Amino acid sequence: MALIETKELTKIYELGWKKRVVGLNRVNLEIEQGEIFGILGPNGSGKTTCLKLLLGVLFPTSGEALIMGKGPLDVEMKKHVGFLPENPYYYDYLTGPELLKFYGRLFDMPLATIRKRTEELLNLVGLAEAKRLALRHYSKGMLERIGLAASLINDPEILVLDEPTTGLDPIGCKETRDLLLQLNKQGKTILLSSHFLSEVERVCSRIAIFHRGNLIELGTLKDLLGQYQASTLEDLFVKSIEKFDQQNPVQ
Amino acid sequence: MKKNWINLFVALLLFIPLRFLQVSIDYHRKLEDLETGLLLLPGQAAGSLVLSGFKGLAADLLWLNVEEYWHSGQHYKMLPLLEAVAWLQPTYITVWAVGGWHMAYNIYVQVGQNESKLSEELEKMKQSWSLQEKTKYRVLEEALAENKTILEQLDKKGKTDELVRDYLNRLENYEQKINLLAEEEKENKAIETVKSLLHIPRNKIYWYQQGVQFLKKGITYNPDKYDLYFELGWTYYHKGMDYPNAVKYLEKAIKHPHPDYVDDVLAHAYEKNGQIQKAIAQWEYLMEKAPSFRSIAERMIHDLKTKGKATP
Amino acid sequence: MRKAWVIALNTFKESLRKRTLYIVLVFGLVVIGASKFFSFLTAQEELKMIQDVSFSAIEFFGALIAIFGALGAISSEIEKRTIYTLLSKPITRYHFVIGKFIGQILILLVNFILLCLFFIGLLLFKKFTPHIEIFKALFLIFAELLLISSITLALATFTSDAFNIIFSFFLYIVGHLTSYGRQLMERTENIILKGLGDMLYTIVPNYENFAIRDKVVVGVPVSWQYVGKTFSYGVIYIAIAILIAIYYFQKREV
Repeated sequence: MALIETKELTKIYELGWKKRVVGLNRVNLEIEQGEIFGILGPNGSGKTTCLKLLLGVLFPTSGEALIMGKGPLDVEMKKHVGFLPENPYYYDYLTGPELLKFYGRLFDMPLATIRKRTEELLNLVGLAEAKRLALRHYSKGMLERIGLAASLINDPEILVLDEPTTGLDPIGCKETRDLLLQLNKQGKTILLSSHFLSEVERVCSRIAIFHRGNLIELGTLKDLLGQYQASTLEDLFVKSIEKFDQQNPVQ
Repeated sequence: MKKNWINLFVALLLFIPLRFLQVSIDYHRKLEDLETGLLLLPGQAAGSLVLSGFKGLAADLLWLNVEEYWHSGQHYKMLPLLEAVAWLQPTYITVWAVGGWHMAYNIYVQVGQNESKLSEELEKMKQSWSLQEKTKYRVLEEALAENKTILEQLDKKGKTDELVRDYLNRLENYEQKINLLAEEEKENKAIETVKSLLHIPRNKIYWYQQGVQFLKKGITYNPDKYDLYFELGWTYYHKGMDYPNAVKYLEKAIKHPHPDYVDDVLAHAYEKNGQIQKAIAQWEYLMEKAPSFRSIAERMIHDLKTKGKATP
Repeated sequence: MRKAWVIALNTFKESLRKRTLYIVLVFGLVVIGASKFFSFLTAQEELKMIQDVSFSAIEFFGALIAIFGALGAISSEIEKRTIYTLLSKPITRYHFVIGKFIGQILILLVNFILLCLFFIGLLLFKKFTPHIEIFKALFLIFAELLLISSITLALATFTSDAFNIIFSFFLYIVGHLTSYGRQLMERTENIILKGLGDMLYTIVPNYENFAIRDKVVVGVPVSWQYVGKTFSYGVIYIAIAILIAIYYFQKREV
């Protein structure tokens, strides 16, 4: 059994008067423990939808999404998961440590543990200096970093990251990348979505390409590059999308 | 999530005990008089649609204006406000009591304010009359005299329904005669002045009766309290010298919890109404009830028994 | 329930630091304070004035805090998208709803106590010892505020903010007029109309039940039984509202 799975996961949005938008169309994924798995795709391809379905923020029209074999509403399961949403925007009236404490308490972590982890994490993401600053004064990059810290407060085995490098400068990107690799070495499984091809290239062990709600390619980077005779990920990306569009023209 | 429908189901189910509870609450509201009856107050219900819950506040604000007008002597302007306040908060007894008082006492006096001025003006006019005019205008002099008499009688004899009918008849009599005169003599200042003077007792009667009516209306909204029965009884006694009515309402007042002075006034009223035995009995009752009234009561009883008259 | 409490405290902290509800509180205090300036009335009238103004202010501004507080509780999380992170944590959706409501209770409690203290202080300043009836009236007003809050919260789980504000205020007004409606219904012969009216009367929150201040202000006592029953009404209706809120929120996709 894979750590994270989706089985024929489908999400259809009913937008009133007979208008339906397919968010996800029968997606099948299997992510093993210890992988860094990347979901690629243009905006609107269903990446975020897939992640939201896994976390129980959205409900599937059909199919299943499972983490550790459990459904998205399982409270126990969530104790092992950390989540970083796209464009994190937290409670702006709290300070960094207060935010971490808030989330930490939702994990039933003892206060002493929370304090220790807060210390560690703030140092890890480089926000120790901004301890007393309210989040409303944070820059976008700082928010991204505190978000990452928050997703790690419970030392989760599984990390789900939605567009983790949006808004980060190149140095920030590198730091995040290094951090992810480090966490992976510690044994964490990472599922991330991104449309920054260069980042995905350097970090992920396997990738999935999404387009118009469909999972159009899945595999290791090496295999896929060979398959499409592409030299770069960008090339692969464009070619796979073209192929899909040809076979499935837009109605 | 599978059992989510249970939440909705229980929520809807809870409306049943809620309903029963509401019935019980409604019963209490009637019992404890927390409700304002639609039957008596259609106007108030309409007002509530606008004010929804701030009636007390609105009444207070209007009351401020009443005070203002009272202090600046604009008695007539108080009246619509008094009506409005009473309409908003019919259980606010002060409004009825004060309103009735303003009408039967203060405005009653105020309408007679011009009397002396008008009389003086007339005197001046009279002095310039020729002998011929004096004969022609004799009816004016008579009307004037009658007017003065009636005004005195209003204050000294009282305003029972019978007496009022009599006053009005007499006034009407002279008004008719003067109107005849007025048809011949258009735009005669003296006639106008006398007519104005004749209006004064009419107005006084009117405002006294308005005061009584206002208090009666207040009673219909507050039938279980002594206060307005007493106010009305006192008005009849003191202002109207209408002793039968005074007794009638004071007897109603004592049926509810009341302070001792109510019994005192009733005793006086009995006496003035000719019910001496009842007066004596009332004084005796009061003596028992309120030791502070003992010496007065004893004196009253003594005088009643010996002279048949005690109240000055 | 500890987790609900954590969310509640966070909600409460938000209201303290965001200061949006301060303005309403200040207005309430100002209005109550203004009633002091009627000293040219007789003592009895002035006391009545102070009580009328204060009760009205506490109820009205309290209702504003209840409605706007509950409104912001859920919609701010959704707008700010903090709800995604929150739902990814090991909490259930009903933790969220109940936590938010407890947060509202805390917010209302603090503001309410401040307004009451000011009111009572003013009475004491005027050398009037507030009698137990005043506290009964205040107690019922607080229960009413909790009810208003729970209903707005429930509405927030499945309607838009705009609709919610209008409807909540609409219910506030209608809820005060239900007894008149009922009396009107009693007079009609039409069975269908009667049934309809009956149903409406049951469903609409009877805020008027909680309004005993008219009696209290003229010094008439109200029984503890009545207070108890009305409070129970509030509790049951709050339970209904919260259950509905949980039901809808559990189905809600963000």
